[in-house]
Amino acid sequence: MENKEQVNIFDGIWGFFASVKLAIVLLFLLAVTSIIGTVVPQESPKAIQFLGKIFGDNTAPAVYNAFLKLDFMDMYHSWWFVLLLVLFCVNLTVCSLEKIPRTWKLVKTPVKPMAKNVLETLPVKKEVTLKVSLDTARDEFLNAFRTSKYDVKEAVQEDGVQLYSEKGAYSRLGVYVVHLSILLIFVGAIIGARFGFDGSLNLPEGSSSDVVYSRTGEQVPLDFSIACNWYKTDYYKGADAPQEFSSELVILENGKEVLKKVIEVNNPLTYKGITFYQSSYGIVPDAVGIFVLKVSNDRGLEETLRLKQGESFEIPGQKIKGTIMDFSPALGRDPQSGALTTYSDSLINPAVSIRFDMEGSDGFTGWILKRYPETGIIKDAGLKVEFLDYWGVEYTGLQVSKDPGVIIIYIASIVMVLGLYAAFFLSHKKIWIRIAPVGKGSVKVNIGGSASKNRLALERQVEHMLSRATAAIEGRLKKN
Amino acid sequence: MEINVLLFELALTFYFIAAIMGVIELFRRRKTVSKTTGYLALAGFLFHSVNIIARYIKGGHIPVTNLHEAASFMSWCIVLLFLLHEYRYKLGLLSSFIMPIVLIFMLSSSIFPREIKEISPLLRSYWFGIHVILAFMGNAAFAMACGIGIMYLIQERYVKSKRLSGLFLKLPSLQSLEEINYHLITMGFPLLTLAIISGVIWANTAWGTYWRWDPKEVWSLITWLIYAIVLHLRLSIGWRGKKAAILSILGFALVMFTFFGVTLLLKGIHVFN
Repeated sequence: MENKEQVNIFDGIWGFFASVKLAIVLLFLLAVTSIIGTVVPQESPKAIQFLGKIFGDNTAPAVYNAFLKLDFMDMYHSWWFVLLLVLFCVNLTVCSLEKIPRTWKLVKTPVKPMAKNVLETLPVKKEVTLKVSLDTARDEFLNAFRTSKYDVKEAVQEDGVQLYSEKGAYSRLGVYVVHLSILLIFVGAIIGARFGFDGSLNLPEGSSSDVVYSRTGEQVPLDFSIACNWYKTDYYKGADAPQEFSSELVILENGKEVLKKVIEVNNPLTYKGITFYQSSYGIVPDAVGIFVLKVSNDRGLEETLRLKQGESFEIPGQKIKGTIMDFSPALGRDPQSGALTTYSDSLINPAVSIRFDMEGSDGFTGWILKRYPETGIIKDAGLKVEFLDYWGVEYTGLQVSKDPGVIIIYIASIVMVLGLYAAFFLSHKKIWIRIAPVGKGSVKVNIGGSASKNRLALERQVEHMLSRATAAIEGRLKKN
Repeated sequence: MEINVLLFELALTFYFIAAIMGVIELFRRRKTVSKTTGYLALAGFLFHSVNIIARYIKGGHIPVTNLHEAASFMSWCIVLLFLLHEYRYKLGLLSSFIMPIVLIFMLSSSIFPREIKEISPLLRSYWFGIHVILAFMGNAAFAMACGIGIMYLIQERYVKSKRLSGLFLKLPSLQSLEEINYHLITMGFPLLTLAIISGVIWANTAWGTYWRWDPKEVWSLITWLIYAIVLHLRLSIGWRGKKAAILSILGFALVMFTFFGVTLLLKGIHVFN
């Protein structure tokens, strides 16, 4: 008795989860509840502000507490949302398992000859009478089947022959392939949550680190070091809109360089499963920068110099001395007065002021702008001074992540696309052609067809086969 | 006036006339459907295509980087699908229902600033073009399904009331409307899926997180879930005909909200700035 009851409970649960209606309810609940997280900010301080604006300062705290209990500020990780997802997965699995045996039978049951009266009730049907012998008609319809890439079978019946075939039986499984891919996505997400991590690292130019920082600020050790050679922002020509952010990163194992790569926004660096993404940048407070200048003239002189503010350099053979006087991270002209001014703390338009002293003449001072190399041409002396970089004051902001689940997500995506293709664009098609002699030298051809979907396409295909066969038959008759 | 602005205005004008003619066509007491609206839409489409190509060349990227461009590209995708269907199935009065939808997008597009701006480093990825084209073509298929759904509901009223005259004769049969409606949803759904997948891959190469629960992401997931429901209601529960038509109209209302509402009301990474 007890055993039987247990079985009944199991059957009850199984039956509950095997329902497509439950799937529809769960999909709908997931869709509707997801809206909450797009309206309520998913961070406490912002949520407090948001609730204050909507409910007023008196009611807001009570609403906030209720929201806190319901995890509305982190709803996509809340117990009830995860519960919905779990129920959905169980439902998806049970529903599919329940239906697969029946579908499998449909796939595996070979197509059989069909009685004439049944054939005439099929969704696609055609009937023609042709003045031709049974054998010729049979041959041409066999051909027509084969050119449409059907594997034909033939049955001889008392009143003629029947040709029949099917194609695309496995497309019936497409929907389960899609379901499987959804489960795979969950597997990938769980693996990522369990074995992956998200972190960040701000790395000043010329420095290295063997730890990164998690979201909560804890140190996560790496088993290698990462160094930043340089960081730079490229701007669109003549505009202050950034075009690219890039950094040159170096991976070091025991102090030895093993990998070097320039990363950009859409082009990260991966080493030992850990990926470094260009995500931000900034200025290191109190850092002393080094001016990287390239001096060249038309007599083949070319020299790259690295100097600090206040330092001087001499250009050999020309008796010119340059001294670095001043620096501006963003030099521009005040729109009203026209005077030179620094308009930002970020290195948007870096400029260096250099005083040139020459023997026998008064010196002069000028600004050289990094983004406008033509500002460094000194005609009188035939010299060109390029301001290549103000190095050592910026840091590159890296997003660091390790997610072994991503590969499963990608595989799941491919599986899903293949499944959707089979489910929507392929169809299990069956065609029967019955050829029976009527009177002297004539045959009556009945064609019937059924498709698991896209009846119109099958209709077109049947029409195509029919016209191909009749054309071939007419061709033969003309020859004779 | 800049050439691409002129082209846009020309396209808008042709679509406008096509939409008006399409609506007039509904009230004309003629038994045959005029082909003029189709040709007007085609003319508008040609100017529109040149406008999009001109913007592409000038900006160096697929022009979907602000609301003007996005709404304009959306209309372009719908007109493309409309013309393909018009050519292939020759459904009577299709333009009367699709061109007004196109016009809504075109007019919305015309109220937003039109300048071509430099794009942020994030968008300088080939995934941007792939992602956007898939998403917009998917939305266009849903827009068409909505138009066909409206046609179905009207035709169904004629059939139910047994008034077998007037519009009844000009509208396609219930069966073909139903089949094309379903066909469009089976195109839109995989396209939306591919759009989400391409977004996932792009997000992972740009940020190291394939899913951030950003409002646009969530709303496209919601759209995906709702169309998954529509498909299951149809294939497993057998909701066809009128119910399927209503669902495809509601589904598109959701697409419209994801397109305009999320961009204008809810903040996130997909918001143009």
